[in-house]
Amino acid sequence: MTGEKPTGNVFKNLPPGVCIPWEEKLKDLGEIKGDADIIRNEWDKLELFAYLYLWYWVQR
Amino acid sequence: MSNDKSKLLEERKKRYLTALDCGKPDRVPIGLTVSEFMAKVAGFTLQEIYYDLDKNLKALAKFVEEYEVDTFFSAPSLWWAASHDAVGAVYLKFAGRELEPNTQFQYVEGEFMLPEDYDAFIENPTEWILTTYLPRIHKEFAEPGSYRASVALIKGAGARAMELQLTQQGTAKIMEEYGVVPAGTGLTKAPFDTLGDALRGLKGIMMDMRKVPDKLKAAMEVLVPHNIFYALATAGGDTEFPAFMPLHRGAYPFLNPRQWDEFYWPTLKKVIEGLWEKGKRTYFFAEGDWTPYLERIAELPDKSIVFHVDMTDIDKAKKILGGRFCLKGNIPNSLLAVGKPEEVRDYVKRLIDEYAADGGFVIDAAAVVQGDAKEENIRAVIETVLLYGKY
Amino acid sequence: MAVLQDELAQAMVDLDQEKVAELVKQRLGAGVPVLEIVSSLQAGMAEVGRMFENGEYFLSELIMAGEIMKEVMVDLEPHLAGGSGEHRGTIVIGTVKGDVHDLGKNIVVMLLKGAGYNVIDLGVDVPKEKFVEAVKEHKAPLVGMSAILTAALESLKETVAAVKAGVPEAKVVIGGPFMDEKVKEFCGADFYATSAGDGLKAAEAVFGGK
Repeated sequence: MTGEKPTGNVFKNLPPGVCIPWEEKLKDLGEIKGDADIIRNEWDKLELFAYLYLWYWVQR
Repeated sequence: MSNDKSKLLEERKKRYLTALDCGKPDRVPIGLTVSEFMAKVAGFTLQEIYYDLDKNLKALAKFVEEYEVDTFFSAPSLWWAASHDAVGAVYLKFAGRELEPNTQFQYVEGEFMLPEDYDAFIENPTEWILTTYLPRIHKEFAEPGSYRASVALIKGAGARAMELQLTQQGTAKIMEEYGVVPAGTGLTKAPFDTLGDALRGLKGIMMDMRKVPDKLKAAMEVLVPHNIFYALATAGGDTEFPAFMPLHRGAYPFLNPRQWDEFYWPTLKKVIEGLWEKGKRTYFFAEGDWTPYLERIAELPDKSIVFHVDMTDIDKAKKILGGRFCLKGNIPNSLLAVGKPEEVRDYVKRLIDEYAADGGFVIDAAAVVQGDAKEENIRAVIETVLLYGKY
Repeated sequence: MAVLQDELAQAMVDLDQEKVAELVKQRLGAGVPVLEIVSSLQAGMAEVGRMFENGEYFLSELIMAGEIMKEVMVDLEPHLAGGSGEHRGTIVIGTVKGDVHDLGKNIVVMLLKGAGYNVIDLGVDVPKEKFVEAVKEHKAPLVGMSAILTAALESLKETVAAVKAGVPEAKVVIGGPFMDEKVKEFCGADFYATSAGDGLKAAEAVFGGK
């Protein structure tokens, strides 16, 4: 078994469907010049894909 | 979609959904849960359907073309073997790789989550899956950040996206061309099974109930919203058809009654009730014998599940759950494999007479139909329902 | 001594892992013969098996007992050269080719061992030739073949046929959730078992009751 002991999590208690919270991403993005909702909606879609990819290997 | 097919699709959908609502449709719906059998019908080897997504879907198309069923379960293979090779998944063996080309896929059970992982899992399971679990179950991803691991992650995610898209397109086409409806949309598990199947393993979870009961319970509570979410997300938001839930370790005699009440049932109930609140029914695929737990299962809201009868005592299931929950099943798979068509006919006729008479019943095999079933026996099931199943 | 032995057997029945480990360590230290310790553990296992048959214990208890046994045997096995030589009969067992499930098989093995049989466990995905070879080598009057997947039915049938051809006097019990009279006839087996208890009964039928 190669996975070492748990290294500790960066995030805590994230809700389903989320890998990296939008609020966290917002910090990186800084000032948003256009419509934040457009950016967020698309961000959330890919978040959902990443989430489902990870859980796919558990819910089998 | 041709008019005929769209009419057929509506007819079958109404038939199936009426039965799920415990009503009497025009006749008893046929909802055979068929997997590897379809490869046989289509003339493909198991390696072909595990590895070739196109053939996998073709096998399903061939089956619904030749057999007059109302619902389909999925393409014969639930997994695309190539996506497992890409990441080096260690827990499944596929035909044509380490098994003979016509051998059924096999699980290799392991303790891929260790007792000391509980805290990190409870704190944030999604992150734990990526940082700790995937490197253990994906050989190619053993050293995250390395060249091989990065390639594996790209391929694994890409493969999943390709597979999802092709499967969605393929099944939409099958609905259009053959007018059959899905038996379910989306998938989820009992929290106890999520942990017991893929993470802690059977031995691990049995030990945990004695050694770390509080952590086990906390982890299952954490899983409740994830498992509700997973069912809805994998169904693409559909709430018309039930979410498939294969149930494993809650079958008799895995757990003693106290363990069942304390560990298995509370979070399972929460998942089912949570889904029902969102309008989503659960396809309670009760593998094995669930007879001792029927009274507890009857606590669920009316119609919130379809109860699949495998080795559960069907008389008791009818008595305790009938009228409030649709029953589905329970033609023995050994009968389909070694019985004669006349025997199959008698069995199905008896199911129709004794259990389907007042509605709320779907004809199916007891367990998933694999390659051992005889084609003439599957035909006998369908002919019998068409002949005697009218209400 | 009898009281002490009971204590270890009882700790096994109580599934008290720490107490079992402690008592085994104590006895090894006190120079108690290893075989005696093992037979206490087996007496405990036999009782666990009996309770499982009676419906007092479930698979969770049986698996736990098996794990406790496995863990202490790690310490005991190096002291055990050749085994006791005394048993009620030899049984060859395995999951047939095409199937890798071992839960049902392992439970039967545990119960059979607990009941005093000499069990040769061939593992999973076992080719028919290996069954025949083992039955001949160990002169086993009974062979247990396990299959969970109905897809392994043909393989089961072929394995029974191979054993019957190679060692006509050997009796065959097939075990798995889908076994019934029809499947037994189809495969040409002598007994079928849908539970570990049925497997024990087949053994008693072949080797005689206690």
